[in-house]
Amino acid sequence: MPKFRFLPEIATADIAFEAFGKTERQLLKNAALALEEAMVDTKTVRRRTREILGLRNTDFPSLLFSFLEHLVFLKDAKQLLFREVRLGVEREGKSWILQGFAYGEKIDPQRHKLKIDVKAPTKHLFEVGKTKTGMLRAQVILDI
Amino acid sequence: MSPELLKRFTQIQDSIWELPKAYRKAMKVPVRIIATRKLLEDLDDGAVDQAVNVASLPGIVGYSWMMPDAHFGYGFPIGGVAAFDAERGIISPGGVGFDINCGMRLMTTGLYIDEVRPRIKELVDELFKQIPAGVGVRGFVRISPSEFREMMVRGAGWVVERGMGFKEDLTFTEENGGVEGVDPESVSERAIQRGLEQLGTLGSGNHYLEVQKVDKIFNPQVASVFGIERENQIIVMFHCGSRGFGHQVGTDYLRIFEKAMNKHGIKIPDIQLACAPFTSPEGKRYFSAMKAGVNTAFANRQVIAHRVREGFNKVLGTKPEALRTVYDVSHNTAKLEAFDGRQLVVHRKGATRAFGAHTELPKPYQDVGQPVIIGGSMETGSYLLVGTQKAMQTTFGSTCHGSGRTMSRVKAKGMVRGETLQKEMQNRGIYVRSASWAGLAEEAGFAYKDIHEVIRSVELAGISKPVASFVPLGNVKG
Repeated sequence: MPKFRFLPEIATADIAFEAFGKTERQLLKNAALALEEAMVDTKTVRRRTREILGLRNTDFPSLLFSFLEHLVFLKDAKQLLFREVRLGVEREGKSWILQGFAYGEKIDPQRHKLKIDVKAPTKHLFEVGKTKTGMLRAQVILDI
Repeated sequence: MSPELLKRFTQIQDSIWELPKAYRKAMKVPVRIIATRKLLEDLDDGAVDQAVNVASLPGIVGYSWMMPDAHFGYGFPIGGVAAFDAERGIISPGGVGFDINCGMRLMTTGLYIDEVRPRIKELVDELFKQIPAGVGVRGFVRISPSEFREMMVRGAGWVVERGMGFKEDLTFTEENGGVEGVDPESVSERAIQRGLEQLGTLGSGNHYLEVQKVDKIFNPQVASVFGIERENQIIVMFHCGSRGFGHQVGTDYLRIFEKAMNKHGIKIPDIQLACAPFTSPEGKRYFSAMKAGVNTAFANRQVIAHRVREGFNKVLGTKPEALRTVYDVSHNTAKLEAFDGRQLVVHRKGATRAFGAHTELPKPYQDVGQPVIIGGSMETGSYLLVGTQKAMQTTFGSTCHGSGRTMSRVKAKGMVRGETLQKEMQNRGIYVRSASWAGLAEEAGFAYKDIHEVIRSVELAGISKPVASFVPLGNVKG
């Protein structure tokens, strides 16, 4: 099973991907990687900056969604693209909490193989569930 | 379109088709589509389904319209027009789009092809430097958060006051480049942080700046009023919006509206249609924040116009005042407009306002109608249209906005390499600079509908009339 893959048949003007993970933690990491890969060839991004991540939400799908929104925010507000995230995820009462770090660097059009700007993840056809083999799967359409 | 769905449509007149209210129980109004038979048949069922969903929203008036360039969006279709009663109806961020006031500006240059063609490479390279494009790039304008707040309240006028442009630019911009009624409190800090360094940037995706030549003039009289005098005249057209600021406003308010719907007892078939009554506190706050997005986009395009002038001056010695704004118009907004004596909240998502002769237009255009700028794919060329009274009577003064995609980005990228496309286009006399090879491939002409068929559709329906067509010489792509 790949970490993620882009889906050519779903979104006409936008970009759709599905990400997989054995655990919630892995799914969050792989969905983040898919988002970054939509914007840049992540192999061209170095680990020069560490961004602290801390998010809380009422359920896991909402946590995943707000995590992607946060990464899109960092791309514009701090001009940061990431090649790796390290994180932990846990439940606390009714909340889901994500804590960790994203590693990457400031956008450099000379060196980074840039792809396409993402405006936002959307809730259109947004799904978080399990595959037949029991893997966690998220489907996300990014507005371009 | 599937044969089953196609069968449910009846032709109302040339290029206007109707899906009746009886198609789905929840529909409050019929869906109407502006399209030739070919474009209707090519339209995907999913996009029609979205227009059907829009037809079921509270307070919708007339019809849920789809323009001929319509395609699948999120919530509302791209290329959709829907008007809601200002007292009883809703406002929806999904009906505006994340890129608030994504729009087009057209400028004449006073130059002709012989003066530009020999130096097009140098010119496009300079424009590529002047106007940052691509993923998350910073602009050249450095402002503080408090200055950003002033800018989002004032719009393009704020930019002109700082020496970037002329008062005439504002005259020839929809709403004079700034809408009133922005309450800065309606905008989040995150939105300001996200947009702070992006003034004067193009973005990516389908955003571009083109140096074009006038190919054909269809209506010399109106063309002349718009400053288009002869074939081979050089013009500049660009397409972009409110950048990260507008995207964050959309993100913030979709979340707020999802929660507000329960409170207001609104049930919707798709969460991306999240909406609130226009008169509710949430509706009012979004309308204010959206206006901030509208103003930011006008300001963004004004900075870009200034940088275009600098680029032309540097390479060709063209005086800044020789580059004249023909018009700057949005195709992603919600506006409070009066039709038949009713105040309506007209949502245009991937649709352009197309007023016929009207006192709201710049004085020189008041008798002929509003310029409508239609960007085609970078390979096929673009159009200048003029709005009509028929549009005022049928589509709430609206028309199409571009070609409309037919192929997904991922698929297009799999069919051609950006480097190959650039060479092919250069062989055809179009010099392209792009911030991204992948992004370039995704914008290949074959990924779009036939622009000429789109224009034929709106002409047959009478909602706008062709004035001139343009073909590109050079293109800056995000």
